[in-house]
Amino acid sequence: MNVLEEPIKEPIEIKNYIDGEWVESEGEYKDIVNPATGKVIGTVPISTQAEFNQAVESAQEAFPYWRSMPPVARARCLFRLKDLLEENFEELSRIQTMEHGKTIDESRGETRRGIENVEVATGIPSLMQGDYLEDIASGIDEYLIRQPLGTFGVITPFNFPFMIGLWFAPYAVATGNCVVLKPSSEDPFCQTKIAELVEEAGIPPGVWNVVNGGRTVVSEMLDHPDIQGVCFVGSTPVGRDVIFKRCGATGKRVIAQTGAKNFALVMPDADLDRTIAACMTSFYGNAGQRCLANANLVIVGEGLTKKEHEAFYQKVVDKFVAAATNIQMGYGLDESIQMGPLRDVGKKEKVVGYIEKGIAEGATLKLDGREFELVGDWPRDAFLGPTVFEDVTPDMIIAQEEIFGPVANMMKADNLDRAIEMIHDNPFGNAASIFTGNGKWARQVRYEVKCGNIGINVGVAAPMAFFPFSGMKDSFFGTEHGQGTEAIRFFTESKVVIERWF
Amino acid sequence: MGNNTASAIISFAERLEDRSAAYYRDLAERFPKESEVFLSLAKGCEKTKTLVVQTYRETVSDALETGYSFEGLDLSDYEIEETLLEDVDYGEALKKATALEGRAADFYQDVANRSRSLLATIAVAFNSAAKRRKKHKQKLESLVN
Repeated sequence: MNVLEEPIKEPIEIKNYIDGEWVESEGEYKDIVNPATGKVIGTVPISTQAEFNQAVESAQEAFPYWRSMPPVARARCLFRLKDLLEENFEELSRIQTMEHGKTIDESRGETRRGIENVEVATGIPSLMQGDYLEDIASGIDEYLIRQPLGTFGVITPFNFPFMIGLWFAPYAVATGNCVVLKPSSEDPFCQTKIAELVEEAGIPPGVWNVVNGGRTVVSEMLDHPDIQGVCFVGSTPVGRDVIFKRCGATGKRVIAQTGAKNFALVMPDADLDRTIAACMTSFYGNAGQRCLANANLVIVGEGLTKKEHEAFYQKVVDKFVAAATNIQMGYGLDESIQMGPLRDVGKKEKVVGYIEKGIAEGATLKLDGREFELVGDWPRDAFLGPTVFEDVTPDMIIAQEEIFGPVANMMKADNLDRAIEMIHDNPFGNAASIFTGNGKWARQVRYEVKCGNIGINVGVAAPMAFFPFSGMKDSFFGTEHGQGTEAIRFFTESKVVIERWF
Repeated sequence: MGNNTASAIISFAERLEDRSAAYYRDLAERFPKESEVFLSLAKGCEKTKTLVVQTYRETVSDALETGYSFEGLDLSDYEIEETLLEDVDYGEALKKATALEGRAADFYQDVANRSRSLLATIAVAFNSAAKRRKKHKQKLESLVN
């Protein structure tokens, strides 16, 4: 066992970053526990309404200066931030493992994806350019300018404490807006560290603010008249019924990327060894706490007799279970570990509740994650092993609802049409994958499936920073998505000028 | 046999290159006549380390098989012996270096062979590292002859 050095040695009291100053909150503080070791690693404030308002005020003051700074100069600030993120790459990654529980490989991957968004945003002098057409009528020209709007709010979830803030904030700032970011109160350390680097990079006071907290901050963000739009990643009930609706009521722009129940289809011609290896990351990566995690594995009998389908199904299930059984679980800073704990005990209890529901509704528990071996002498509280259910049917709760844990459902479909129907019967539309060597089947999935992100022989269909992070149905509420050029459009207003000189 | 995650493999490669480079710098001091060759080998090890670490950090994303384990590899098979005895002679030191290069090349090649379709960027980098180690070995063999 080789446990890497922990970057957080003593408990840290998190502060807010408002107007370029580190400010202690007057709100209550709550403990943050490393879910693998059970140790308190710091405290986070539940900030007040007044503190949030101060942050918005500082952003509003900074806005006129910041928007008038040439895009190329704003890009240079982001280049400096990118360099600092690279310099602190390893520390940032280890912090993620400590505050969230994910493995060090997963954390480094998350760090890379976050930095990629800063890289894309540095291209703002090109990305923000408008359009121009001469002679729309004789002697009259018309052009389009993209202008920033003011201050945006960003609300990030616990499952990717580093990356998700960077899906939005760099683009907001690059386009000349200011941001007030509320990290998840469950794992706020990375966003604090990023704000330290923002300060070091010389991004002016008030442009990038961090206010920690809970519902009070969110509620104020949704109602505040100076907040032009809100970016949110989290659950569907909150994203749809709170964020999207209230943004609509108060006239704000909104990106609400929400829950998921993703399907992976395994076709009879799939390369099974590679499929199963890819599925392990997809189903159990981040301990299943990922909106792009696959949850339902549908073994499709296209072109097979009933008997052949049954044999194929059994073969896939056996290989899946064998691979899942071998996953090493423990503290993510141990380099031999492939899966860490859930973020906290409450989340584990919720997932265990779903396992019990699955048993009650008649699914066969093929691999029980409640019984597990742990590498290292860590408290078992938040750990839960890979779980596999067999004989799962689409009407079961475990097949329909987002479990957000390491639970895989093995399902059957007679053919590809039926498998696609199963995807469409589910209210979510975040991602779907197909594993096959057949281009026609792959195309059918790409063409027909109503999901925002499609994987073809890829288990986690995660768009790169220069593509939008898509989502459909109950997995997304809004118009433009985060990342890439859609983020640029979200954070800018299109102004059209028609010009004639006498 | 430990579980060989990508992180564990990269850490092993880093240590391998650090130790190899240190060995060649040591040889350069002990055998000044061939110091240029040994220092160039040390530099080659430093370059390989940079290549391997950069490839991992810059292209492996969280979505692509981060839980991937390089099955069937026992890293103890690739451990190198690089300590030099006080009175080691030139021929003995070269022999040790040649063995070291062979073992390092095997390590990179074996890892590359296990990640051709998943974590494919690691396979590309490790193939290149194996190639460099094989060239090192050839250079050392030419010194023996």
